[in-house]
Amino acid sequence: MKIKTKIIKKTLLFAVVAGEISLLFFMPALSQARAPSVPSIAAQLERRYHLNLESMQNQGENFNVSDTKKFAPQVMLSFDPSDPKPGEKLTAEANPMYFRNAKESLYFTWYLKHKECNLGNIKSNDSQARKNCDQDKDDEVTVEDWKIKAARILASNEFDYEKALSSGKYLPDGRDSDADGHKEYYGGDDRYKMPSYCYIHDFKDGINYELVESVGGQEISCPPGRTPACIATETLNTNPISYRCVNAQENPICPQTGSGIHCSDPSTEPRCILESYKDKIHLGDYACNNPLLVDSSGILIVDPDQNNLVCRIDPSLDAKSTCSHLFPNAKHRKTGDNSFDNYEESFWRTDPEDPDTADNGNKDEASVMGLGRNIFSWNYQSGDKVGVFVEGTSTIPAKHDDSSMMVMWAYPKNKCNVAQKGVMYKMIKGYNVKIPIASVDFNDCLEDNLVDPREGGQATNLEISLSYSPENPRNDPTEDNLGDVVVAQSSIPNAAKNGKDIYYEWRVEKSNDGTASASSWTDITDKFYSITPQKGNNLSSLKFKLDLPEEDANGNDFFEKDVEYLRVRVKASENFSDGMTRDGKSSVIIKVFNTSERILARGVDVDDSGLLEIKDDDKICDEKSQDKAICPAVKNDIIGLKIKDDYKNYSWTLNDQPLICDKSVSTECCKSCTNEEKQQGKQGNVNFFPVTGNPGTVYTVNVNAINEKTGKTLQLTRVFQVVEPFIEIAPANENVWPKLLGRYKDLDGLCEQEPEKCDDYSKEVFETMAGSAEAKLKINFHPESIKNKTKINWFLDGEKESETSELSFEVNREIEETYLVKAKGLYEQKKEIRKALHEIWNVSQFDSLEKYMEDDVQVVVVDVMHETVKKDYKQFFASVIASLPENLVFMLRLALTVFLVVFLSGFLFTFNFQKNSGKI
Amino acid sequence: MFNFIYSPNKKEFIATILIIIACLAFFGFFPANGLFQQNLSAAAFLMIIPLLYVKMVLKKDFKDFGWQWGKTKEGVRWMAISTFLSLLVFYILFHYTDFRQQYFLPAIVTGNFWFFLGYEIFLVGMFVVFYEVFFRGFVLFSFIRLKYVSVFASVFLFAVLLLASENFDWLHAHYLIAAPFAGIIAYQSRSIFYSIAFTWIFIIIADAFFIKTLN
Repeated sequence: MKIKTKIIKKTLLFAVVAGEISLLFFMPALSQARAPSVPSIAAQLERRYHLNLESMQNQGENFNVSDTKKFAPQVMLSFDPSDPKPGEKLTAEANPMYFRNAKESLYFTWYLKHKECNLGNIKSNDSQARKNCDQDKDDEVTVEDWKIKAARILASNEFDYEKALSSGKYLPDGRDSDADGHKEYYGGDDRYKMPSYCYIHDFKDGINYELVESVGGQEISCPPGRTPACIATETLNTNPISYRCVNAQENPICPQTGSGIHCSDPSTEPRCILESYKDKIHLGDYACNNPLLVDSSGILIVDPDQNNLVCRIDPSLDAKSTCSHLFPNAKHRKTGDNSFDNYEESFWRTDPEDPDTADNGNKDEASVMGLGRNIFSWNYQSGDKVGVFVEGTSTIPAKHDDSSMMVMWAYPKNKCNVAQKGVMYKMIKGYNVKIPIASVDFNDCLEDNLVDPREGGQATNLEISLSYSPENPRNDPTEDNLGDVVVAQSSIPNAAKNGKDIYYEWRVEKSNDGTASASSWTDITDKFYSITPQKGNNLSSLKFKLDLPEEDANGNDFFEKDVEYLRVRVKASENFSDGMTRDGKSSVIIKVFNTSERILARGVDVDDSGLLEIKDDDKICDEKSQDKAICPAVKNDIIGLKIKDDYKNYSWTLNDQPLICDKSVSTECCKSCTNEEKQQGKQGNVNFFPVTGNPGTVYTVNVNAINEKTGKTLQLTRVFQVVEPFIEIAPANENVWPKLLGRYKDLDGLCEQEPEKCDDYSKEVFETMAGSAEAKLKINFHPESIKNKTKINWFLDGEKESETSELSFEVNREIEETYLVKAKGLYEQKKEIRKALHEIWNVSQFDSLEKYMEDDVQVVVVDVMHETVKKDYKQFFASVIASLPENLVFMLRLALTVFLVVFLSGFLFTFNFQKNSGKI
Repeated sequence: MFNFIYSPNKKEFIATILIIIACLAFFGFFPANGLFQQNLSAAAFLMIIPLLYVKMVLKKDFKDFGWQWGKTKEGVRWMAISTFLSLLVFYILFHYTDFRQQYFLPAIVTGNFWFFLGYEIFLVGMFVVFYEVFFRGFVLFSFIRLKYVSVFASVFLFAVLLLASENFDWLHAHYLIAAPFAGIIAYQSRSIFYSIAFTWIFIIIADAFFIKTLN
């Protein structure tokens, strides 16, 4: 016993030791081992593949409804021209989408409705409607007539039917002599022997319903105060009495109240049937109302849109798939039966001897079917509407166990009410597959899809885009009126008639709070001194000059901020001959810089070291307002440019190219710059540019700068244009004046109000008064800047008179005699300027040559006695006042003469001649 | 001859002739520039000097020189006859000579009635008065004793003045037509008022007719 105990103890000790040793050696390994955890694995996967649960849920939700988001076939109609005139050939083009077939294999069933061809019976006395509308002579206008009308146009190709008919071409033997029949296939011409299931897409719920002959539903009704409710347990019968009318107001008590009756949809409530049906009550005798639930097997179908509940018998019991083309048929004939006999030829008005009357590569019957005919042309009449149903195979597979894809129709407005809906179950691959079904006749949808060529399928609004220039316009609040001319240009890509005859209305508004995103804007269109017409046809652009004052007429702040915002708005409308209009609106916001500062133009001199220096006293284009706007310049001149030195970071450009002024040009470029800044090429407030272009060339100088203290940005522009210089002789005193040639006669009567403004004076012929003490002429220089660089020589009757700027001569010739005056001018740059042009801008000395100019006039001596009246009575008085000292002398002389004559005559009478006295 | 000269009437006669010649000479040659000076000159030599001469030298009444209403009946009768005859002459000139082509009126006068009125009243009227005061009032009535010779003398001197003028042209035709009739009227009525009225009316009618043909 003791031995046994010892053995056991030893064995246990060994086991403990062995176990401890084992633990000692294998423990680390065991500590690393773990049981696999699915969530942790999923988490690892998430981490590894960066999967986001929310995104996956989103994808799953999308997947759940993806079946209703598939692209069903559609068709778009476009018309050319979009504004057809009655009698004009109008072409409608159908552009089908989301079909598997090529366009050539689709069936285009066109239909054309004239204004008078409304559906219904034709009045017996309405022969016009009978002739135009009742194509199949059944005394009724149906959609079939519309289709026949269009199919005849497509198939006949303007074949002379009347002539063929009268010549007996259409033989009454029912033969297809030209073998122009064509076989139809559901879903398109390329669907030979393929299984066909036809569907309609409900654009509301996104479900594709298989077309069946009849859904088998039956509407039921209840007495007043009762609501029909379908009973789940009883609908397995085909008996139409599988419903109950429950009391809608009293909510009758159900015997099983509180016994766990509930609806699976929490938004609905259980309702009990009437007492009279108590004997049949069991747990299934309740209904869930508003809307009534469909039971789990999907047998019940309830229309939730209707207040009155509708119960239908299980449609799967008798649903039968069907397909039907929309082809128009001749009486007692079927289109697409591969037979097109003489009767059909006559009916469709095709050539019985030409299998392809339409000359489109298809047989005549195929033309009637509309095979590949996506274009339909006819002579438009006012009120015509047209439509097309396109039959083809969609890209959506049918659920049937074969190669079928859904055969579907596309129509322009996607309007076709799918009312008779249901579901049917089919055993496919061992599963009871649910297939939504509907019973629809597409012929009922034709009218809803008629398109007026003047509205349907086209954009209803004009798409107007607005642009403006210049990019950074400047307003000049001073009286110089040198602000930029802003051009707002509209563009309407979808306008008909190339945009002609579009009526425009323009408006310019000012931001009320000085920001671009102002909540309110004020119309300031009438505040511009210069603005093009704002209302009228073809006014595709608006121009206005930015010369808005800082204060308005009442002294209130108007356009006083450094930066203001204007909004240009345009409204355009396109009118069509039948009174239809298309409108469009657009606007653009323009940032306007408001400053009276401008780039000053100055003459230039050259210092001893050959560098340019600006001549502040030689002002260029500083007087005439038109010169301030566009400053005329002469070729091979150098223009100095200067602005106030209140800014930093000047940036000059000339015709959008950098205009650099550095130490090789002038020492005045940046007087405020440090040497370091000059080394860095920093620009200053002074610059220069050479005028090297030929007459007509435009130079646009821009300068940008910033005031570091105020943060104010400066953007200025000045425009120069190269002109051919010339001189012009002009009167210099009142004794010479241009000859009055006549007076303009305007249409507005302004010349009657201010006749002096309409006087037309000669530039070649001047007049002077006979006996004028001194006639003075001067030279007008164009541009003014050449004055100091031009030498003038005066010639009077061919003889050189002087080299001064004015010519004076005494008028000592007789009336109607003439003085011929000529002035010759020599314009040349100083040698230093030419040298600077060469050294700084590499202008060849042969390009900076002198320029000769001349002008001549005739000065005619006139008799003021007669001429004054002709000239102007005002000038007479002006002449009297101007010559007052001369007239005073004359009057004195005259008075003395009168006195002398009278005195002498009186003196004569003082002599007393005595007869024979021999003395006086 | 000397007897003639020494006679007091003869002395007056000679002095008057000298004054007439002097006035015409001064009127023609006195330097005057511009409308203002020319008008002033005309006023001085055709009106002021003759009037001063009559009043201060001859010490006569202006009545003797036509400044009176005179024989109204004769004046009106001869005015009517003269107007008719002068318009007849004007009509012949207008249709059978270059008058229509050569004569002109300032555009401002032909285009505006008020300017036309001003032109006829002030400018034409002024010269009509000057001419009538001198040639009818002074010349004719100075020689009235010579009867119709005085009429002839006044017309002759007027014609000489115009013909001698370097700018004689169709523009003076009105005055030349009117001159003999004005002389007869003044002689018959012993007044220059009727001759002034006749000349004025004739020129206005003639100008109006001319403007009408232009339009």
